[in-house]
Amino acid sequence: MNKKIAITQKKTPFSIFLHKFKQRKTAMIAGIFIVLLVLIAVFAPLVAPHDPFKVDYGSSMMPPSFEHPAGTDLYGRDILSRIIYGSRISLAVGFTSVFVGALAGVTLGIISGFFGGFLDGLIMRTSDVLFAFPGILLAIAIVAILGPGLVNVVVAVSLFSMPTFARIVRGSTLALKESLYVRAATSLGASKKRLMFVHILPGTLSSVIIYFTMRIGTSIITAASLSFLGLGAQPPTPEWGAMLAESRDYIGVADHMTIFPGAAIFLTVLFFNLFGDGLRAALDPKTK
Amino acid sequence: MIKYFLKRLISILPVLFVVSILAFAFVHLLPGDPARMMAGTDADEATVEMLRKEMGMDRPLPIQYLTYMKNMATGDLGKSLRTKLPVYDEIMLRYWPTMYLAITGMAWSVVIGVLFGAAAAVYNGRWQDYTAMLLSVSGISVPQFWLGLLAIQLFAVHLGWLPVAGYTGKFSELILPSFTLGATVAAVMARFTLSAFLEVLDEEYISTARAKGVAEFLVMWKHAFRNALIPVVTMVGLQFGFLLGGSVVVETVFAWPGIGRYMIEAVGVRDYPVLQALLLLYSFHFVFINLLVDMVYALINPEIRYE
Amino acid sequence: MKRVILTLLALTLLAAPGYAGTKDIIYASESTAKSLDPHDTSDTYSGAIERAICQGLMGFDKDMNIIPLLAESYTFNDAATEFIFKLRQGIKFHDGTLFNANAVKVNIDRMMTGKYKRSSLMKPVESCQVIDDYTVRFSLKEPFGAFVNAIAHPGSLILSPKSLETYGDEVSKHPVGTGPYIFDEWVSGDHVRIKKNPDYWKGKVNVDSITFRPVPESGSRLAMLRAGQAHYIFPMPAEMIKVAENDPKLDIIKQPSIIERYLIMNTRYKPFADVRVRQAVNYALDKDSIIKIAWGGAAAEADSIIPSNLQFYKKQAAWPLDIEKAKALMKEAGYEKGFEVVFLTPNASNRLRATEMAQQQLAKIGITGKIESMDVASFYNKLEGQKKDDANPIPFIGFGGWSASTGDADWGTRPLISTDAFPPAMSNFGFFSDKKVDDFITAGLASASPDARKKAYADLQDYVWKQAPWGYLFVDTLMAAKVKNLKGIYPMPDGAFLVEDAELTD
Repeated sequence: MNKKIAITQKKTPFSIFLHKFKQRKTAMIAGIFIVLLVLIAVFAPLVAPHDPFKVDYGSSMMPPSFEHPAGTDLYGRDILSRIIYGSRISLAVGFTSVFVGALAGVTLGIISGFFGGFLDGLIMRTSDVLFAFPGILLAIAIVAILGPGLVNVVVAVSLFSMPTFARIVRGSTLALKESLYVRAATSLGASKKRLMFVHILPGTLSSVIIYFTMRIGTSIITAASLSFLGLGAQPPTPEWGAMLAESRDYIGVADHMTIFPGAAIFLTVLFFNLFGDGLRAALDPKTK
Repeated sequence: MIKYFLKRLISILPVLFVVSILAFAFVHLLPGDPARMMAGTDADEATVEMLRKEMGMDRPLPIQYLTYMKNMATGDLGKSLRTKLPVYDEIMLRYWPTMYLAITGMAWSVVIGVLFGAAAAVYNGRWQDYTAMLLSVSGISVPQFWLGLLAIQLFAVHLGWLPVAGYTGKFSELILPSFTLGATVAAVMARFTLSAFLEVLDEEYISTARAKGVAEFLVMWKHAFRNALIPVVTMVGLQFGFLLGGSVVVETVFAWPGIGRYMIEAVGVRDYPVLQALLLLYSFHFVFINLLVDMVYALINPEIRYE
Repeated sequence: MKRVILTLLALTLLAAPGYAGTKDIIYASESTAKSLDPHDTSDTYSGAIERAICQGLMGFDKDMNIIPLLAESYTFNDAATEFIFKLRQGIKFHDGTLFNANAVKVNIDRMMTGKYKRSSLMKPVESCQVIDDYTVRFSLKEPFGAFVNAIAHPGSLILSPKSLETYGDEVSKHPVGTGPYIFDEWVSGDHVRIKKNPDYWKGKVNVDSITFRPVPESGSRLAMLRAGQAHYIFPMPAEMIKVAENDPKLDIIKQPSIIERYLIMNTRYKPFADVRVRQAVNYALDKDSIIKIAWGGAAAEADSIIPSNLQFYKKQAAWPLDIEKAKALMKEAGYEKGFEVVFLTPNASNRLRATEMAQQQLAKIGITGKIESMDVASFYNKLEGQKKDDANPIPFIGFGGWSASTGDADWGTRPLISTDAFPPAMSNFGFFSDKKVDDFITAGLASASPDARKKAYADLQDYVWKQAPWGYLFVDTLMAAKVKNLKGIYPMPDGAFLVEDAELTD
């Protein structure tokens, strides 16, 4: 597989990728949605119809109307505006936490797979230890020790993304190390650094990218789960998970309060996942 | 092979040793006073002091650590601060419910994931592919607690088909929570099955088999499926630990008497001995499963045997 | 693969409801039983289960009025240092042991060893003496007017002396009492089951057994009740009351509680040291909206420093919502521009909501700040960790709540606003200190005569209400929900419950 990536990429790398990606319609739609979401997040103050923090007890829990398309929350705040502002937070939490986790994990994974031996053992056993703590518990611990808040949620999520990245990359590195292509490069006298980052890294990227996009979704969901356990964003931050966790007490009473933030999370995570699928398909030489 | 296995088995010990240190550090780093939690928030200082003494929390930390390690070494997990029952008994009461939940959840995710993933691979690029992937990905795109609460509303309250929550030993009580738990992992399974299948389908022996005129069904079953399963087995192992962790949320929603909810309760009241034991238990599982995965890997594919 | 799916589906269908028609009452609650040893129990829920199995000399009815149970009557001296109880005769424990004065002494002596979580109830006691088979005398070290309340507390339940001898501290797993139900089974973390006592001294018990099952998630709890998987749930989530009201199979029970909620301010330091600032906070709080929105309507505005169900309560004039007056007071105190605080709260969803609303409302008079929510253990750790003399105090507003489990004004005030109660001794987390308040509280305990005590606590309440050591909020209204054919289970004002008269009609 790896030989092929290298060869096809040398010919017309980006155009092939783009061609294949366009073929994957769900991924295209997902890509458009994500771009839209990023735009909404950036221009939130222009897009949001109301101030997301403006309280009006008189219109508490109003169902959707022309004035408030997604209804109002407990304190009469406009839910749509809160979701729009919340996209900033959810995207930031999702992206930052995975990025940090991936950066560390990929580096460790390559080192571990490439050098093997003692270093491999050390890194893998450390990641075993880290892995061995259930993610939620690690998050509870970190948040409890550092104090509540979004930054600590990000720290927690990146910490438990890391070992998975390391493991995945180590696996691919092990396989790639033995491939003809890398052996050839070695015999041609490529430096270790070059071997690792020029010859092996690209080969591991497709699985990293799949996992990365998937993980963005997961970390948005983890932030929501932390809110469910009372450890997430602090009010009045319009974080989606916090909105969803807060509204769960009103299922059957004011369903719009749970449906809209729930849908926002669902669609965003779904589209990130579909986008990841599209990337995978496009990066994989086997799909036509 | 056996030598490799033994070597790996022994390598679990240092991990568990490190985990035991971390577990001790973790519980003592948590802000909050177990004596206060056990005494009740309205208790006076004398009661809190009395409990602190009784729990041995008035001694210096290094001494507490030594006692803890000594007890660990002899297999004594201590007594729960909250109920004063032996931690071992307390955990065993809750262990199997969680295992049933995780195993059934895993069964759901493997069945759904492998089926959908294989379908997506076989019909690569066609509508079956899109539908299968869309459905399986949906499972991972919903927060578990939300999925659980919605499932309860639909299947238990409105339709009345299944019990709402709790576990008294009936299989029917297992369905909703295990599905909620498994739905998250199904997507991961589907994805890896898909990748693995695509890779295998492109191998030469598949084309050879086809060229030889072997029935398509047999090609799929005998050649493609079996080889594609290798990475899937890895994922089952890796994801099992994830499922165990995920049971924390699911068990809370479904009032499941398992170790996940126990963990949350133990954190809540700072039940140090219980927390330490649970952390060790979780870690042991994870490390052990990883070891098994590696073994299976090495068995199936001797080329990638590690040093 | 298809076969596996079909099997799963078939199992799903086969597993259809099979839980109707049981004679067992299922009580689903938020909490989990933590102990069944009354002397070593610190939580209300476990205490309430114990009250179905064991009884005390005195007890509470469903409105928290003190009633005699194992004692027929009691007398006390004027100085409130000696209490004599006449015991009821002919009562047997579940294990056949006869209840008598010796049984009482064994239990009280056990509590007085100081080894148990409720030992503090017997702290004022010098000794407990058997006068004859059915008379016991308590001699106190100092006057303690609220002693009968301590005797009625669930921490002072009487266990069979034989069971204490047999099981020692393991009695926690084998409680034996004189109550309407016999302990049957406790699966830690899951359920406690009690069964009917056929020889109950008060008369017939109407149900065969009651199972107490913890269901922490409130939505799941209500769903269980609606699906017929539970007969009674507590607490009924107030936010979902409409759902329960619209369900013709259900009844909702409301009960005013003895749980007061308030905002703690650290009064030892600026700016909350100024009574005008504290009064401004009370004028700025929109109690009505907080009750409606944050608490689902399940509360009544506070009208004294103690809830109305406590002994010696005296009603005060409520603090009206008056932003102008609040602003004027802030200006007078020199804080026209306002100041910053930290809002501290436990992370239970209703407390978080109430704090969020307080944050919204206080912003109107310039008191602004971030919310820090945390689990209960961290919250108390934070409050108790404060020092009496802090060089660099951070002004905070904390969400406080207190249940005076003895039902008496003393326990509703002394641990919270007396100078002796500065943390870590007790729960005066705002370091409120006022000589007059301390004097009133001492006077309230100096006599066991109701009239004298009443006067002391009336003066105390009149005075301290205006001093505003807290931002007064409300008193919880407890809510439970049950299926229509269940009768006789009552929530009690302290959050416990009575199941003695439970009855399941057809």
